[in-house]
Amino acid sequence: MTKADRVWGVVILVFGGIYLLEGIRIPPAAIGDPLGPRTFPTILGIVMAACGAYLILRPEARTAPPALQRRVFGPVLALSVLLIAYALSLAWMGYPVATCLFLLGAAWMMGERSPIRAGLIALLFSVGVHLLFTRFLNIPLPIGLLEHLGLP
Amino acid sequence: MAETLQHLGYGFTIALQPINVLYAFLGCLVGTLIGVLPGIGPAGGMALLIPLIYGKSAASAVILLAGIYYGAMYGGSTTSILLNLPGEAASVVTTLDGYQMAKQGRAGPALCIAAIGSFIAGTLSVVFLMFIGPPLARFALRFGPSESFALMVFGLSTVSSLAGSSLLKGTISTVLGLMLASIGLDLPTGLQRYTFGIDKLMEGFDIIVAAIGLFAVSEIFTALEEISAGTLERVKVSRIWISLRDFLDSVGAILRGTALGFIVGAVPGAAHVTASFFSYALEKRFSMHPETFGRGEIRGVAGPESANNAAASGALLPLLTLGLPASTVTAVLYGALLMVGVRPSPFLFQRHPDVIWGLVASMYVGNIMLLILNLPLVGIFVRILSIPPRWLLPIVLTISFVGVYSVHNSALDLVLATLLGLLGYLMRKFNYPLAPVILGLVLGDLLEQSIRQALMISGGEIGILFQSSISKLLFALALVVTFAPMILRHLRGQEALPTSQNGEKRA
Repeated sequence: MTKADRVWGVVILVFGGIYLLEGIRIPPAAIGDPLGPRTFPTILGIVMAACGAYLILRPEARTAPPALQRRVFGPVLALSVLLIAYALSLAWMGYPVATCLFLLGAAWMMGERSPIRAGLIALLFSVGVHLLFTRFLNIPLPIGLLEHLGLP
Repeated sequence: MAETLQHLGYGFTIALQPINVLYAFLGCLVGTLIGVLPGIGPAGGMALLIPLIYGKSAASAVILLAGIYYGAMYGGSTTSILLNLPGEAASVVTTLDGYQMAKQGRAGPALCIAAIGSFIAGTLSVVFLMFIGPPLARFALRFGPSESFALMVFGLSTVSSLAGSSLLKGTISTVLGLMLASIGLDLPTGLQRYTFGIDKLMEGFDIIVAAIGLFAVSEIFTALEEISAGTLERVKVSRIWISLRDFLDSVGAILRGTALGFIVGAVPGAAHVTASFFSYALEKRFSMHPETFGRGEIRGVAGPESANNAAASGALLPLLTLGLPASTVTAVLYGALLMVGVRPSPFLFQRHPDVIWGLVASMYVGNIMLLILNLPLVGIFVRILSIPPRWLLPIVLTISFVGVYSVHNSALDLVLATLLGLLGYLMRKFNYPLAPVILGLVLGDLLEQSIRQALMISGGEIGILFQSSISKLLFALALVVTFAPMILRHLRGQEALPTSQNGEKRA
């Protein structure tokens, strides 16, 4: 853990420093406001950077280092990319289509290998949630591509 | 006293009208659903459903909305316990021990105690509301900026009980939360801070986005990793109903959580999130076995869940007795009251007794309904865990995302939740606790604004922070909470040390 703590100490120190620099750039506009919009971020930046520095100097050596192997981290990154793609396509693809595709992708990633079962679950679930939100709870969701089909 | 009971009797004649019983039931049902669905909290849910109250009588409208409110407070714990997925911000604390219980196969008892605790808290706090409401509301109004600041400092001091093994890493997590809170428009000056020119960030960082990202998304990343490595263990459900012993263990925590939650809820701005964090810290601090917390301690579920529900009633207090909305939820309720022609004011009880006493009586009815509704659901909810992970995990992701998305219709929120999920995944790996981030995010705004307002009032004189007895007390409590564990450990250490050295008990 010692080495990992040192690495994270550097990351935290740098992050605190950037936050601090960005905070100092906030205009001091403070008429009748003794602290102004700048003081609080400045303090936070200093505390964060100090914590990072402390971690570099005095790393904790209590627990075993976690394994962050590429074999394990690969799927995590792939799922994040899929999630971001899902988020960005939600508006134009529409909720039912995007969700159905996302479910197929994610379930395949997690080991589902039967295309018929996967398709059925993904389709039923995405349409079901869409109806639950838009019909029962009156919460609008984007319909996207399906609009052109003239569905209600 | 007798007069209050007479009024309450009148209230029941309104609340027990069949149409109002139906509305209370509908409100509870929809509220539970909203609570179970992550993302949409009680305030958002009520605001979305306001159109439902058009054309209904004032009493019915209020009963319906209040049902949604406490239904959502009940339901919020379900996904926290089963899936480590906080349905709303106040349930973040419930994940700490609730999810651990579920992992040990005790999801049933955890869900039961959450429902029972919520029921006891909900029922008792209505009693509080009736009898000690008005004086407590006046006390709560004495919370000016400096008292709020003291309360927030006290809130931050509870971090030491959430931090886990390393106080340094707990501090880093908290500061990260405070930093996230500083994103957005600075209200007193109208300046943008840390928005990097992104308009959507002006409204600030939504707590729900952080809670879903850090807890739910990162949980799924961790599970995915275990699937890839072939080490994912399926949860076995050992029992569904709670044992008498579990219940007796939790009664104290439920009662303490109720009292604490009601008081904190009545304080303007503090909200039920703070109440549940306070209750958790209290239970852990004064427990004989603090080391069991975070490892599936039932009191760590019972206390915060009760506090959370009592705070919901406490928050109604300033609205009902003084006509002031003191939280987002009561602000929505305030708007709804105006819509149906009731003007909230200190004279609400005199001018609209049908609305107020109908509401109070319906809260008794609603709480019983929620218990009846929720206990049988426990058996069904627990079965969610037997869905194969390859389907459960993607479905959980889409449900969390639809909740987050429906709040602001913003894809940016979803991207942020994903990035926070990656961050949370790394933080878990390297032993950084996640709950303090949420605590910092919740307290950050109020912490900064209250000290700035206090110093604006005093013209920069720092002494204003320590003037009132309330703030002195709160600062003192913050010191006690922070240093009590060290002192206790010191005292116990001195007692234990000679024993271990001599191998025999000291006389």
